[in-house]
Amino acid sequence: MSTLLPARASDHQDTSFLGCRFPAGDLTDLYVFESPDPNNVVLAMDFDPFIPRGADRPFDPALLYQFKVDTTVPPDGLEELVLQFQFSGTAPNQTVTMYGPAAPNVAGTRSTLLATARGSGPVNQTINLPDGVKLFAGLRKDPFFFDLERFFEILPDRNYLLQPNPAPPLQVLSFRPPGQAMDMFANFNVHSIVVELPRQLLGGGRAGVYMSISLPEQDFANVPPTGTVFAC
Amino acid sequence: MKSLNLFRWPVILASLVLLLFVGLRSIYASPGIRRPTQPWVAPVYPDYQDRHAWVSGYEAIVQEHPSFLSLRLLAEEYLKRFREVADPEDLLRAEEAARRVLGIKAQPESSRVIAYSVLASALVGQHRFAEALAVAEQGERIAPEPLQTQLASILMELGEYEQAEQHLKQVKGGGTVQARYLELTGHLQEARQRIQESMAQIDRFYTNPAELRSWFHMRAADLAFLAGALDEAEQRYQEALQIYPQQVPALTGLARLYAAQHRWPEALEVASQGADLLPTVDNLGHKADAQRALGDFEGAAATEELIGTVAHLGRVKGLYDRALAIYYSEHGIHLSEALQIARHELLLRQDIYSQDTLAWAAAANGHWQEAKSAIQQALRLNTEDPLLHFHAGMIAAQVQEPQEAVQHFSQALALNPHFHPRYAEQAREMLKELGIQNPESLQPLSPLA
Repeated sequence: MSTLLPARASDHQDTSFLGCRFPAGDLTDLYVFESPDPNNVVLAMDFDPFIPRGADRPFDPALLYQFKVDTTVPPDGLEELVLQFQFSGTAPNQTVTMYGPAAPNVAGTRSTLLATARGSGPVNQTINLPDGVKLFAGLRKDPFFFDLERFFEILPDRNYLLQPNPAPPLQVLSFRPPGQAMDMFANFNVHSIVVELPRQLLGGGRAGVYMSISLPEQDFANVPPTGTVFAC
Repeated sequence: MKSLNLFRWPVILASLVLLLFVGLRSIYASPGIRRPTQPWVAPVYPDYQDRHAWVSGYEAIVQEHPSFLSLRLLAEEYLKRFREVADPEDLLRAEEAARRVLGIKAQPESSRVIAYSVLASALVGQHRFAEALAVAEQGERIAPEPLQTQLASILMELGEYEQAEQHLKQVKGGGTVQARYLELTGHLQEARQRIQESMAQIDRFYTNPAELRSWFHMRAADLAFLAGALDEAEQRYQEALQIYPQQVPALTGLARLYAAQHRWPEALEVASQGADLLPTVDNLGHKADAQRALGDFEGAAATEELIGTVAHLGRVKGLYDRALAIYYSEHGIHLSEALQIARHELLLRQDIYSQDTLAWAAAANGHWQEAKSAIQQALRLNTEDPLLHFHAGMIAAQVQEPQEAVQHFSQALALNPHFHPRYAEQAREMLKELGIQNPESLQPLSPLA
C-alpha cells in the first residue's frame, strides 16, 4: 500500500453552508495507515465536527458514506472499489451496515448502494465482520491538531482589510513552539468510521483513497441556517 | 417511592368521561368541520433534550479558550435554545458572544460571515431591526451570497419589500424567506407550495433540529389557515407539535384555528398549554376568548389581567407590543393605549402588519382617516390575509366607500370563511347590509394539489 504523494489536509466547516445547515455532511479528515498487523490496512473518515464533551448527536440514515479506492496505475481519479456505510434506526439504538469493498455500480460523483451488505452492528462498538474486517462507527476525539488562530495571524484570510479595525498583516511569521501552541480542536469530538481490513481486499497493490458523502438530490437553498431567528 | 393514590381514580375517570363528552361536543358543535386523521411524521431526533449538554459543553470550552470558533459555536447554540424556549436572555448571550467573535481579528472570512449572521439574528429576535440590517450589510460586504436571504428577511420587517425582492433575486431557492415574500405580495398559493417543498426537504434528514422541522410544519399550517384550508392547517399544526411538543407558536396557531371554528374547549386547552409554556399576549388572548365563550368570565378576567402583566414585561424589552395593540383594539379596551403602541411600533418596524395594527387601532379610536391611510399601506402589496381585508372592509364602510368595502369583505371570506371567531360572521352581516344577498356563495381558494 503506498501513495505517490501523500495528502495532508483537513477542513472543518468548509463553508458556512456546511457549518450552519448540514453538519452531518461536513467531512473533515481521511486517514489511511498500516495496522500493527502488517497484513492489514486501516481507513478512517471523520465528519460532523465540533461536538463538545458530554454531547452527541445521531448519524443520519439519509446519507451514504463511502471510501472510494482508485487502484489504477497511474491513478485515473475514478474508483475501482468502494466501501459503503449506511446507518439505520433512531438514537440511541442506531446500527451501521457496511457494503464492500466491491466494484461500484457506477463510478464517479453519483453513487448507488451496492446490492450485498458485508454485515452490520451497533454504533459506538467494534464490529467483527467476515473476512477479518473490523468496523467502528461512532464518537471519537477529533484527532486533528492545529493552532488555527495562529495560522490566521500568520496568513490572514483574504478579506483582511474588510475586518473591523484592520491592522497590518504578516507581523506574525511562525507558529508557536510546542507547549505554547493552542490546539483549537482539542476539546471537540467528531464522528468517525474506521475500518481495518486485509490489504488483499483492496487489491493488494497501490491504492489511492478518498472519501465522500452522498445524499438524495436536495435543494438546500430552501433550508435556513439552523440558528436563524425570525421575528415574531 | 411513588404510591398510587386510589382515591384519585374516581376523579380521573370522571375527567375522562368529561373529556369524552367535551370532545364529542366539540365535534358535533362544528357541523361540516371534519377532524383530520392523526398525523404521521418521519422519525424525529429530539435534539432539544440535549441542548443543555451542548450549551454547557461549549460554555466550558469558551471558558478554557475563548477562540473565534468556540465563541461562534456557543452563540449559535444560544440561538437554537432561544428558538426552543424563547428566553430573551439567550438573545443577549448570543449577541455578546457574536460580538466577541467579530472582535477577533485572526479568523477565516467564512467564520466572520457566520458571526455577522448570528449577530443579525440575535438583533432581529430583540426587534432591533435597523441594527440587524446594518450588521447583515457588513457581513454582505465580505461574502454576499450567504446573507442575501437574511437581508431580505430583515428588509421585509422594515417594510422595504422592493429592496427585499432585489436580494431574493440574487439567490437560488431561499425557501422560507421567499415564501414569506410571496405570502405578503399576494401569492399565497405559491407561498404554500414553497413552504411545503421546504418542509418535505427538511423532513428527509433525521439529524435536522426538531424545532426547525416543526417550524416548517407550523408555517405550512399558518399559510393553510390564511387560505381557508382548515383541515390541512390543523393537521400541520399537530405535526408541528408532534415533532416538537413545545412549539408555542403552533399551539397559538391551533388555538386561533379552533377559536375561528368555535371549538372553544379545544381552543382553551391548546391556548392554556401554550400559555403554560410561554405566556404571550397571543395565546393568553385566545385563552381569555375561549374562557368567555365557555362562560368562565371570572377566569377570562384573570387571564386578561395576566395579559397586562405580560405585556408590561414584554414592553420593557420592546416585545409583544403589536399583539397587545391588536388585542386591545379587538376587545375595545385601553383604546388610546392601543393607538399609542401601534404608532410607536410603526417607528421601529414598518412592515404591513405594523401598518395593519395602526389601521385597526386608529379605527377602534375613531380616527378613520389615519386608519384608511394605514390600511392602504398595509394592503399595498395585495396581501392575501383575510383579517387585513376585513379591517380594510370595515374602514371602507365607515368612510363611505361601499364598493371597496364589499370587495374587501368578499375577499376575506373567499380566502377563509372561518378566518376569525367573530369577524367572519360580521363580514357576512356587513355584506348583507351592503346589498350582497348571498355571501355564503363565496368560494374559498382551491386547496393545494
